[in-house]
Amino acid sequence: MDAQATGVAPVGLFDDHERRADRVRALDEQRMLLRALQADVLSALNHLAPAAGLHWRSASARRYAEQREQLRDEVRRLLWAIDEAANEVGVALSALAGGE
Amino acid sequence: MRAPGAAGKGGGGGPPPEGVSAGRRDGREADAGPLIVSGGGSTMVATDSLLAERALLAALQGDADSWRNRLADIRSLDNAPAPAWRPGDVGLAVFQAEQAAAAVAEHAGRLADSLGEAAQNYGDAERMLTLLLRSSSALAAHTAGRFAPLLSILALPALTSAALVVSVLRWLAPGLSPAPADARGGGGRAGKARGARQQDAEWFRIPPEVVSDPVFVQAVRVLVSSIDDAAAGAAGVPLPVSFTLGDEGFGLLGVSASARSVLGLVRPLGPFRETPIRVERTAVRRAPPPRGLAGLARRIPRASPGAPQVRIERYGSTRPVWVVYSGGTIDWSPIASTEPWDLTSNISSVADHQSGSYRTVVQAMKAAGVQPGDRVVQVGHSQGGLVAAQVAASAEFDTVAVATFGAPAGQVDVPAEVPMIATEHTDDLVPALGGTPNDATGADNRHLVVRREAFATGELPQGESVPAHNLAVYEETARLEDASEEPRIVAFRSDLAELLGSEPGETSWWRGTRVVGSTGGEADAVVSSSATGGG
Repeated sequence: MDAQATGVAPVGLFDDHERRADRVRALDEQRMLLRALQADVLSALNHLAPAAGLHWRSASARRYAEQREQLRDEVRRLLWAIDEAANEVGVALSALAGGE
Repeated sequence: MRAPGAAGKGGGGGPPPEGVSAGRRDGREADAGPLIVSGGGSTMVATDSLLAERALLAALQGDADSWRNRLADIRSLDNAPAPAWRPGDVGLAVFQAEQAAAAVAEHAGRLADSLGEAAQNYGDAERMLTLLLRSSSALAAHTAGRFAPLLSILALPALTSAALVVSVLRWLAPGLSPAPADARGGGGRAGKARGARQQDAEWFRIPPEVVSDPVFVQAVRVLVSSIDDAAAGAAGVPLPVSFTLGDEGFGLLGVSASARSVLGLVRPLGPFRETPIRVERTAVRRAPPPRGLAGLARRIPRASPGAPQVRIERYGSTRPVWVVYSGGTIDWSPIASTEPWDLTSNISSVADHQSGSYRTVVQAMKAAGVQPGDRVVQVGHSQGGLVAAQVAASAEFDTVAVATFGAPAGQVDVPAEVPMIATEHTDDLVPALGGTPNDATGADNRHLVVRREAFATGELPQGESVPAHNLAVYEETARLEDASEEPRIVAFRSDLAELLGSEPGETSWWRGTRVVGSTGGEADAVVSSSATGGG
């Protein structure tokens, strides 16, 4: 039974090692899933080409193109946020490795 | 139907060459109008690129929602005793990514909705305009029909005066005439007479620019749909009754009823009489399956005297799939000769009678070996498209897809569950001769209608009365459809490719001939002669 489930802080060297090993496994999995997600988002971003050549009236087409560009920026921001999260996982893993 | 003057050169017994596959070399394809997509079970009407964009954004919204869920799952994996919620904390970083994914989902959804709303508004406006035009035209036609005798008496002096004025003007100022008779008719008395006839024809001829004007085409469509109202008015049928029974109501009257009336009035005098037909196979080859809508259009037999009018392909062996191609009108004479792809078949088809061309296709299919359970794809241009839709509507065969190009088949009741793409040029008069479709843009119309103005910016080619009806121009539009990312067009293409597979199949060409001079008791017949070729 782990600390989260019981709500009781672990005591003893054995529990501490076990907790750290669990955390490393979780972080590894997080990093792997984040990288996979990053690849999916990048693929979607590549499909989201700029809204050029659409047969719309000029004024609304301009407004739409601006909105569409903002959407691409948001997808880029998401991509960076995932990258940032993956990096934080890497930092946490390094810290755990350094603490051993 | 195929425009007179647009027919190919003389036919022959063997397999005719397939249509042109290269695009127009004058760059008109690039300048032409966009594809406008309607139907398909949606009330939206928009360009294919707008609808494809909307589908892309809707998919992105779904993806972003899924990404957010995945991020929430990833965050829950962190088994740290308590999140710190400060910079450098993994939980906070993943949570921020979740927020970014939610923002993407919200923005993509908002944009997809705005595009959908624009397409919906366009569809609503078109439906409203069509309803208004149909109603006002029906009212005007009914009134004109009712007062036709009086109007003709009143118009007689005016018409006589107009004819007199025109004659005097032409005598006083010959330059008003299109061209000197000698220049057109050649020398001699016969030449002068011929020239005078041509001059008169020129004088009354509607310029191609007018015939190819989308507004004119729309007006003809509405007028054709109103002929039954004029007849009802002349017969003294009250307007509400005519309106209820006509296209606007139950559809018991309409273009078919008008064509039936024409047949009833004119057939006793000689024109438009149906005859038995004889069908023969003229050639057999092997060919790979067609690819996309352009591949289908390219294989439609060209309208050419003496050439086969029907092409039938068989793919697969255990449960075969057949593709049946029918071409456009070849003979425009109102008196039936030996050619079943004629004006008589046009009128009979619109009247929903079994025309010579329809019977040729059905006989050829049976002779080719199509069995009741076999799946059939129907393809046709012009009159061939009308026949294709009618075969699909008859339920005699298991039709699994229909593709028509420039067909006056808007009022043919092809079952809703049969996937169908009707490609029409808005500057092509021929589809308009089928009248206003029963529910062109309503939610009940499951079939996709793809429209395009073929000569939106380019100049009209010389020497063709209805250039936008040319099969080669429809091939160009089909290529645009093949390049389209509109989801329903993409689905039609991929379903077709899956249905036909990749293995070559057997192709046969069939020619129907009318048995003229028959007493009417003679049955249709299949003559099984053919030229067989390899490869």
